[in-house]
Amino acid sequence: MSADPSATSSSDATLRTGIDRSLRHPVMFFLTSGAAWLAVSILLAILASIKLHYPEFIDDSAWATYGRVFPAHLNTLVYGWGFQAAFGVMLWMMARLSLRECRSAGTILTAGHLWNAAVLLGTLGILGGEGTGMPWMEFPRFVWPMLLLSYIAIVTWSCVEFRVRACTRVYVAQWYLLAAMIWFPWVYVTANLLLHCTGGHPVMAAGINAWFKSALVFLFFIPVAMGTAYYLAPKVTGRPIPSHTQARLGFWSLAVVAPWAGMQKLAGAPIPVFLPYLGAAATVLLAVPLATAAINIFRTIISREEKLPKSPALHFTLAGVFGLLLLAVAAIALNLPGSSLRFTQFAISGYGFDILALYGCFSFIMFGAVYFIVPRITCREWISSSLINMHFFFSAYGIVAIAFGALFGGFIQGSAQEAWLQPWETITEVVRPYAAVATFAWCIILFSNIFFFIHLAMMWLGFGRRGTLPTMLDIVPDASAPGTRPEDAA
Amino acid sequence: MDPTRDNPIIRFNAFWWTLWTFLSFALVLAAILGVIRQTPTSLEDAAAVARYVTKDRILKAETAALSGAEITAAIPNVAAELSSSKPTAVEKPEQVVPGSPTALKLAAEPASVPVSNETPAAPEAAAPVAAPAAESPVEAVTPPVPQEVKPKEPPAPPVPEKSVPKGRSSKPTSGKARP
Amino acid sequence: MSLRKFILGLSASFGLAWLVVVVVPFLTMRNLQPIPLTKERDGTIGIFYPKRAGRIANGAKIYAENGCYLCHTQLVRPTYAGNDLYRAEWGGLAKDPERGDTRRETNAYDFEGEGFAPIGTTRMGPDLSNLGRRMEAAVAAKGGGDPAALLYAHLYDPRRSPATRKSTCPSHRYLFTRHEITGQASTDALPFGRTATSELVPDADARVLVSYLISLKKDQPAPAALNFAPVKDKAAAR
Repeated sequence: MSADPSATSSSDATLRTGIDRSLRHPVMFFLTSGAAWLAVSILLAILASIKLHYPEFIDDSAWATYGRVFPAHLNTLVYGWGFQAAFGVMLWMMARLSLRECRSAGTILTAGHLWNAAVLLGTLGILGGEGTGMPWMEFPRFVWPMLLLSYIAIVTWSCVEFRVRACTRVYVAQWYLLAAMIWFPWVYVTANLLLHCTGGHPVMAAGINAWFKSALVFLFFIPVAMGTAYYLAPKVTGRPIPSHTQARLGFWSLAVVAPWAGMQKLAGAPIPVFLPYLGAAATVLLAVPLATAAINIFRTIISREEKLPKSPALHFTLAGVFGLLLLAVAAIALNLPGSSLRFTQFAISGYGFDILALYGCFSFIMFGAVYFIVPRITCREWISSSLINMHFFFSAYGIVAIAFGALFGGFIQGSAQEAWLQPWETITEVVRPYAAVATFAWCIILFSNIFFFIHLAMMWLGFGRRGTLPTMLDIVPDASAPGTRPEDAA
Repeated sequence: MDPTRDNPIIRFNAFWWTLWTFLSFALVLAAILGVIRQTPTSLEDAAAVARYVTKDRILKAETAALSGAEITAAIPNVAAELSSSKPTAVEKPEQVVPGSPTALKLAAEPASVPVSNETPAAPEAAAPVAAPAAESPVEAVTPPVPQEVKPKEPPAPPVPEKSVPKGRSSKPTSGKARP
Repeated sequence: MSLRKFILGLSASFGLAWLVVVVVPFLTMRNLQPIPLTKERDGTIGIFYPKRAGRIANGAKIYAENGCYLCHTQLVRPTYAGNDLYRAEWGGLAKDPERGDTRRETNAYDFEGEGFAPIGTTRMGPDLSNLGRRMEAAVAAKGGGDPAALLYAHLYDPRRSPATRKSTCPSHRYLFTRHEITGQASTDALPFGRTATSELVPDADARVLVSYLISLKKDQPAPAALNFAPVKDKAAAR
């Protein structure tokens, strides 16, 4: 929806304000509780990461053992922060793009509380020793129906709004959001039904878990990120997406390729041999949709280059798009069946890949969306551009450190593992520096997000700056005033 | 709000369509699992099949060699034989348990004929027998108390008049086939 | 593109993968038939049944709850997928005193009794498929002892033994209790940490876990149908 100041701009503005007001409480709830879980997750990540190179740290408590803290970190990152940020952003964007007010704020808020309660119970369950041992599904068995129920109660309304949309045009962002909303229950129920409610072959169960992990990233988080970027880039720059064909290609190639990916984690396991290699091939091919969308959005952003230094939303979105490109390269580099798969299969590069997807791509774009959305629903502007800058730069440093550290370190670790004549002790030594880098990187990320939490909390409490001019990042300290036009504020 | 695009009916329909779409694959999966109702068999069960075959074979062979019906039919006769061949009481003064009521009684009446109602064959009846024997000093003619006999009424046991050094008396009632 | 076509397209693209990669393999592998052994090829009859002795189900649960799968794998990959089989003590024992080279890759029957195979996510620590075998070989080399004792000591303090001084395995001290010595000292007590009046003794969870770990022996001779070792080794392995 390119911002053209048309004759109906005042009724549009009223409509948009109405939409924003109807969604204010649910969206702020999801964003703030998501941010709180992000804080928890990063603290747990630091604790877990310290234990990888300094295992004597708080080693006498069952609650703080690595085997429980690390799954707690991942699950809170995914279900506590990831999903709630996605909910907040999806709800607002779908409502805006469908030009429909939200009528179910109460239901959504209740469901949001249920979601938080479930995540809390699940996290306590993991730390208390009731984890299931299935990566990314470690919450105790009773949690998944609660999450599913809340999800349906939160997201159904957005789909209904889409169906009754007032706008005849369907935007690329809406394809991605709608697809993500539909894919998640398909993937979630399949995995949980098969793993928790039916008996099957144990190795196949591990395979389905690996498929679930990949599907959660590439059929929910990445599409939400892409959809959000496809919304923010044209919206903030005022330029249309350069190639609609490319956008279609990107979307449908993701839909076709992504459901096959994931089982490469079980290469060499006693399951039908085509499964892991199909998964590896699909993950490599995923570079196509990822790169296509990234390039399309990148071209949108740089077509209006003077906006770039000033809009926080655009900064974060561009960083997220770089993350997407990096993810595409990593997807190829890590999963080549003849060469790199055997090295990276059991190395920390898998973790690096996950964090690149969840933080380097998804979270950055979500931050961009947050910086865009919150002023609109609270009718206040962000207080300080330096807080935003600190958040941005330190997050960027942190994610680059983790991504490169873990991806590169994973290759080193994998090569050491494959050197079968070496005693195992040398391999533990190889990982240590990369684990230290990861700890340091997570500390930087925590530091960056402190600014984000403070800023968001102040906006939530109504301490935002009143005014019509949005807060811009004046990184280039030139004398020219930040040229704002009316459409920029919308 | 154009009523042709947005009205409660369309919203209602859209709500349910959304729900069905979300749960479509879940329902398909549940249907598939419901149709293919096979609990996975474990290796233990598979290994057990061979054991059951062997067990059946052995049971058949045993039954063929040794019929259960025959055994059941023979039990009453054997029981009767066994109970009728109840050994006579052996009276050996050196077998009397020191300190028992019988011993005390014997010590009290050294002159009378030692009649011991102790039947080594019925130790479980020794206590009730010894008790009435203790109170009735006259022994001899009373046969042992009926409750000590086996369920099937045997012929009256030989009267323990004298200590008959018979040893273990087994009265082979001839002619019966012994399994 | 209408909404209906969109949903149909999504369903078709997802559904095909869902069937081919998830549902059909799951249902087929549920009913994995055991491999029958024949006298000619395997030297014995029956089925291939790599039985493990120990608290497998309970131990697997504790293994999962404490996150052991995060740093240890239980997958010995065939040589086209990794070099695990070349290591001397992962797929079995390269120099078993009775059987010679017992190493083999993991097969589909090796996780019998567990609901979810703890294949593992990374290898910070060594693969555990044949941990029981390694521990027994270690105590045999020392002239006798209890393999469980080695594991109890490792769980309590992984960095105590000189061989694992640099290990980053967490200390699972919370699985042990210090209790008063009443009468005789417990045979399972740890050899260190003993005072005049108290000793360190594994809890029920530790015992179950160690029973599971000692049961990890996956080098039974593979049936001919699953034996992909090169021909000259096949004859030796028989």
